Amino acid sequence: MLRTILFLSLITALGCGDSNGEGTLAVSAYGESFIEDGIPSDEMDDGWAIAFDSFMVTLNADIGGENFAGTNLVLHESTAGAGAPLGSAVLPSGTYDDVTFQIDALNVMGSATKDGRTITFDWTFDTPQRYVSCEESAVVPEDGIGNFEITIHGDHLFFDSLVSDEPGLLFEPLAAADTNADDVLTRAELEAADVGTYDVGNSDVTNLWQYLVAQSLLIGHVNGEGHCDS
Amino acid sequence: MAAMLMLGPLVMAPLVPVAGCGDPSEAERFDVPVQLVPPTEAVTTDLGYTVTLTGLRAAVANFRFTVEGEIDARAPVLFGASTALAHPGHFQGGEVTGEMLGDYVIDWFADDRTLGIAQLIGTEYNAADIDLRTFEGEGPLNGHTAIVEGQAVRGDDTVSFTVAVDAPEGRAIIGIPFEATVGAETSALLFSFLMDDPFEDDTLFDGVDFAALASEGTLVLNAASADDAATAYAAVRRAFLSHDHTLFQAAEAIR
Repeated sequence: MLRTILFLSLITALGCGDSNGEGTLAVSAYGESFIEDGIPSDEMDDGWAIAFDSFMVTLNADIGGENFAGTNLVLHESTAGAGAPLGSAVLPSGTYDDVTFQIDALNVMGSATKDGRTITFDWTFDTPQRYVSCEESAVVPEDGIGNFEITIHGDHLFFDSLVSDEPGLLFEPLAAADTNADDVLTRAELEAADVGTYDVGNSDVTNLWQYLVAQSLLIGHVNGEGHCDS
Repeated sequence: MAAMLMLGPLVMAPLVPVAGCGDPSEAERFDVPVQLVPPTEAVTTDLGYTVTLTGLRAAVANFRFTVEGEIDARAPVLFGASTALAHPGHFQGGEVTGEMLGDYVIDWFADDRTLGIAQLIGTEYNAADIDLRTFEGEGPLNGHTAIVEGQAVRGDDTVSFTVAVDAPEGRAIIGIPFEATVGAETSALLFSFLMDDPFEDDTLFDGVDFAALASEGTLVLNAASADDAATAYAAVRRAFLSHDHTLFQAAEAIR
């Protein structure tokens, strides 16, 4: 009862309207087809095709006073749109505008293929990034189940700009960093490569590893295309 | 001369009153000329070249002056707290309370230094944003966002150069420093292009080995450059497109 009262107080404080009952909020993380199925060459701007052998994310979300967390959530396996569950909670029905979430780590293993050449990569990004002020709210229907999705946009790792609204999708600049031509693209090689023609905006990014880290901090969305401040 | 193309009447309708819940008429508005300050001072790059500019033209649009933005925090998040010291004076994401709309072709070395008239609400400002354009018209700027011309000298080497900067479509420069209070005493907004970045102690041409890249005649760096010249072009382009090399200041009328 105390919990319910606290939640009711919270909802009132947030100005989310009346709450006459309870419902369930189910939260998931989803990588969409670009992570589950890969990025086909015709979606890229330079003809490379991307496949993810493993794409795992550690994150947690705070909604309505509840925390939903998952470690090494598997996003690369096909889920028919369901994504990886983060958990569910019973909450007072209503609309929750207070969604925040944090991505703590990403592990991305995969390959890029073009013209018979395949380059593999295994990257871990462990710089935490908090997302707030999201465009989409979580909705808990009375006596029903509301779904809320943390959407991970894996293609952003291959954007050619940190600031453009309509960036290109490239792998060629990354492929060029494989200087020992062993078809394994390492962090060390990326750190040694100038960021080149990528548009870094106002950031101090100078090498390709820093660039990938910066992109990894922008891949979190909600309910598909909903943006948050990060 | 400074060429100015007004696409439409300057309007204040989009401007946000300073006091959000108050009577908009409380906000006093000012028409202030925007004047260009050319980069006449030579700078010395990290490779020891003394660089002087002789020409600088750029296609831009829609000047927006903002208040209460947030300090640019991405760099310290990425690369440690020490980097935070590299970005003082850079705010972004604030509310727009002043503007000068339309497309402009800026010539920082033109005799006519007045670019246009901005309309601003009287308040304290933190930053400015401008859109970048690809110029379509006659002359070397055609097809580019900016043309930077100058001379680099190191020892016995003297290299004349031209850099044609191409910005991606839809690109803007966000968070140009503009720490000023605009009011009745404000006689002009001074728009400077800086070859050096006073906050980060670097220059627009750091990393460019002019003598090594030049063969004969004028060194040309552009999107078609190859090999080391491509790397040099990318470095200058990155710096040009950042908010590190432009500055707005307010000048007060002399009484």
